[in-house]
Amino acid sequence: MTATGPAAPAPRVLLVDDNHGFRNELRLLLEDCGIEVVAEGENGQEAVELATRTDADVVLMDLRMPVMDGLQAARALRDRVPSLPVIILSAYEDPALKSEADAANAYAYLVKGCSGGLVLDTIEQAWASRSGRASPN
Amino acid sequence: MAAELHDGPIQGLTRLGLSLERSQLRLRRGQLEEGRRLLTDAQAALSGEVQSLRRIMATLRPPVLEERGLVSALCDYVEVVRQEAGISCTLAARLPDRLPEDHEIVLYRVAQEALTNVARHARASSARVELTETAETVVLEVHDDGVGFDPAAEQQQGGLDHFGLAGMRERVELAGGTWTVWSRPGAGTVLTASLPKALVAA
Repeated sequence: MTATGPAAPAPRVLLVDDNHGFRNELRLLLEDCGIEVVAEGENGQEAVELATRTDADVVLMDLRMPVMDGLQAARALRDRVPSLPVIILSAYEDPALKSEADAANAYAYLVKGCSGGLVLDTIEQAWASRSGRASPN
Repeated sequence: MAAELHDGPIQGLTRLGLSLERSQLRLRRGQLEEGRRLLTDAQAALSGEVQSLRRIMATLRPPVLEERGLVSALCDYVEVVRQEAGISCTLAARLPDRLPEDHEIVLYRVAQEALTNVARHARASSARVELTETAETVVLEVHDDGVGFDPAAEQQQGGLDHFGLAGMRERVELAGGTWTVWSRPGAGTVLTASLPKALVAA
């Protein structure tokens, strides 16, 4: 894991997960590493609404959520904000779900339990891909 | 069960992993007090997750099922449903002998899953579990007087998996049995699982 200084440019993240405790812990880790969480939501519908209202650079989103799941939200975001990279962070290590995420144009499919460092690196790479910056890795 | 693991230990342990990474980061930055505090919190969270896994393990194969058999285990579970869900729940069991261990687990899990559905979704005032046997089979039925549903519509909307019904059927069929559901909107639901008395080779 690499810590980013507060003054350095850093991606702004929209964080979406229905588990409040997990979301809170992830936000604290991202903030400790200099990444700003611009908004939080607890279902896919909120993700779509917040993505169009905030200046997030990257969406980091759970898969299984009430109201609208992460795959439905990724498909909606692909249609409405195609330039916004979506990272799915799912509890399910399932190739079929990963294929669905790929079809929904998700930037990456990460499985919960992976290191925070991998989440941070993937956010940086997704941000770099969006802004045309060279990936730090 | 999958949902219980997803919402419980998987989320909890993943969160714990992130918390440990934060404590590592703090310690690396020389923020010792904050790092130690996070480690202490993580230790407490880990104990909580172990307890949570123990609870899930107990529902997978409760000690009473092993020691006193299916009828006693169902009797206990019916009492839990009565107390926790506030549903009038009864058990009628005519089973003179213990069943093979695998059959007891299958029938116990089906009854448990069915009663969980009754408590969560059926809006029933009463439920009845019946366990009977014929010369060839053991039959479990779970009746409720709840709102019911249209099985055909359920099948069309995405299969029977919505209420864990597909998993129940698979469990019974793998043991060589048959599984059926009868339901109509407003007319309650009856789940039936029949297993052959002779063990089916896996």
